[in-house]
Amino acid sequence: MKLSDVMSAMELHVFAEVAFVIAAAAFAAVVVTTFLRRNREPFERARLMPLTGDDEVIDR
Amino acid sequence: MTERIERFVYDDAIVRMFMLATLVWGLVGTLVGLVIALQLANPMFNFGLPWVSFGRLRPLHTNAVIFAFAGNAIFTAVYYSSQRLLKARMWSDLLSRLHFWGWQGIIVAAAITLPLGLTQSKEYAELEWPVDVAIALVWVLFAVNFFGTVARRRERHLYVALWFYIATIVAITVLHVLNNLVVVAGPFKSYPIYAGVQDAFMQWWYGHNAVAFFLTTPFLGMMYYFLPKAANRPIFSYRLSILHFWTLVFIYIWAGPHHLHYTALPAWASTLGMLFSVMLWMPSWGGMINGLLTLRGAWHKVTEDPVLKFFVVAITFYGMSTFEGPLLSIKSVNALSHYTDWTIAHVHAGALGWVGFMIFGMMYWLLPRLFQAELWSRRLAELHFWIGTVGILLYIVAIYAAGLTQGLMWRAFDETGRLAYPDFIETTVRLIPMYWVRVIGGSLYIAGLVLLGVNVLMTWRARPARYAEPVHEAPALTSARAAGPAAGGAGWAGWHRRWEGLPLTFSVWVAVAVAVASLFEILPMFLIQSNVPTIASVHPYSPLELAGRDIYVAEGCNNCHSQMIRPIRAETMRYGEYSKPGEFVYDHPFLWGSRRIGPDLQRVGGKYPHLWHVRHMQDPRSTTPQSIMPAYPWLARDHVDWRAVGRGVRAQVTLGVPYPRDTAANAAALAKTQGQQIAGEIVQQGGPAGLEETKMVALIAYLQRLGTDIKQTTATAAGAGGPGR
Repeated sequence: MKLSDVMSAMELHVFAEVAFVIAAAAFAAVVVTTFLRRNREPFERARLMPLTGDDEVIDR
Repeated sequence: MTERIERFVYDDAIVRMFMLATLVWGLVGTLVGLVIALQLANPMFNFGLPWVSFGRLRPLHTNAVIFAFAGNAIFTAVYYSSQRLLKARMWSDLLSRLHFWGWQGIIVAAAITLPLGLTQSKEYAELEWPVDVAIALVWVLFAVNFFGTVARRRERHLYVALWFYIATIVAITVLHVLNNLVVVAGPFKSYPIYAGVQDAFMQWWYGHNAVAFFLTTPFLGMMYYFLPKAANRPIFSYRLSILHFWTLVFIYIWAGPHHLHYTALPAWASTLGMLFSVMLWMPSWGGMINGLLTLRGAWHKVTEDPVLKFFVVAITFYGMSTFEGPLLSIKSVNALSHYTDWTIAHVHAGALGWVGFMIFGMMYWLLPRLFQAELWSRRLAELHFWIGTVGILLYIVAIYAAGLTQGLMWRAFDETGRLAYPDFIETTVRLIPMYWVRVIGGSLYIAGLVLLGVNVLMTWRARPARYAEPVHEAPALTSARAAGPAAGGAGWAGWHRRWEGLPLTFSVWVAVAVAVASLFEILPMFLIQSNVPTIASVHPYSPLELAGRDIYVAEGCNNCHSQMIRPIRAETMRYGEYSKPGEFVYDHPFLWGSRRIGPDLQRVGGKYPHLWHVRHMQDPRSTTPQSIMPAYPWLARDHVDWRAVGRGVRAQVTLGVPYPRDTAANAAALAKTQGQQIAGEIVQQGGPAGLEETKMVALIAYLQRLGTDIKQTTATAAGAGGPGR
């Protein structure tokens, strides 16, 4: 028996629909944890990284 | 423990090279776009020449602006910002140069092969297999150089721009390889391993994600780096950028099937594509808001600085396009918009507004830094901004109007329930004034590019005799520092901080996000038999029909004609029975098209006599007054390559197409016999003699076969019943 026979018999396109629900739940979880107030500070230094000033216009 | 301080110099020469290539290919790509815009406004601009006919030039335009203009801009941004964010010179100067020259060689190869009609036909993946192999090799060089630089960085933390670059490198590798798996049938000829529905699915999984991971993620990286630099303010919210990144990477990859609503694609895949497309609105607008709010307190600078003007308009277009994209993915909206100019307007709002203006903003910001001289003319840059903006608005307003006009006319019924505009040409002629407005808008945009070119040239001329190479210092990233604890944070966000210092782990998670989402769609699509119910009366193409199909592909007919009738009343009344998945099982590649500049051809077989086709292709205006189709006189002169016919059939056999053994062995002879029969019928109908070995006859053989299989007998479903929807 081939894998396609097994998948056809199991109607596995439901997988994709289940994945959609999981993705939506994961998204909600990521939103909540990312924006918890206690996680604010660690990202402050990272915000400033592009502004290191090592590519100023060279004044001749 | 004292930290060892290291000194290093950035490689800006490679950035200058990519930036100049961006300008040159930007001009070439948009000029080709102007030529094809003129061809749609008036077909005389096809000049009766095969190499510049619309079907061959359109893919050259899209490839040039995506992979040459945007591609070189991406590399400009990556090479400039990565070195500074990682505090390291690129890992290998040699790899940088090989990458640059290899990529330019690929672009030149595209500029030669596409006008010659050497194409795989799949949108944004037209280039034939030798060029695809070269793309893969050069992309690997780029990836090795990038990750080599990451490995020897002096900054532990990877800034958000770098995450977007990593996602681009990982995802494009997967997309390019999986959508270009082919069986080779000649030096510049191949057939995809997928057929029909599955080929369409793979193509639009690729096509939409090419937009995602070539025209979006690297440009978001660009936004997250260059916007704070230009505004001299940090990004509004780093946490929002985390959300933006992961949701975009995970969700985008599912959205491709929305390009195939109401087609023969199974409905579950189509619905899934729609749902994820609608969800994409959230991360996209999160990114847009993050970009615009970065300018809080700095809006006064926008009035003075052309760089910020370009960035603000670009990000606004990003917001507009990413609102419109989910809107267009909703099935009921898509039923109106699909195959019309609405999609073209949407694409150009994104390409000219978002991609183009991000590039121009970046270039104006880089010019004084890379050429170490003051920008030659700020006023010229301001002028570029304004005529570019007006050009975009003229272009998109005209083409939105054209798309809506077209869609509404196609589906309009009169009071008796018949089509209000049964003749397709009526709906084409109505658009011509809007096509001329597009020509004006496009010309203004190109004029802006020329002004940029003048500014680049004059700034370059003011460069120093020898570029200064500032030496930078930073503590070495020892293994202890690299593996050190993250800078605090609790829960998931704390883990994310750790990943941001662990590039390998980070890249693996990006690959997992891309792969998992892809597999949830791809595996059921390929492994569930009921997705494509077979039809007993559908047989492989005859050798001559296959040769004709190859000519259809080479001439780019699929750029204007669809072969997919949706189960919508206005379509079945206009074109005939709706398309079934089982009708395409031998179609390597699928040719459903994405645009109807001309009518659908799925049921054109037997609709007209052979002679009508001869006259139509020699002079479309002789059979359809006011037609904007190019003439194809060379098809009546050029002969079929009979050896290629044999190679083509053998390649199809390799792909599993069930040709009888003697068909493959005698393909050329069988094709010649059918050619003589059709040529004889053309003469009987009062047409010219001597066409039996020409490409014209092969193409007619293919067109007369289209859509006729299901008329042979009553369709018999093997496997699951029903049309799979």
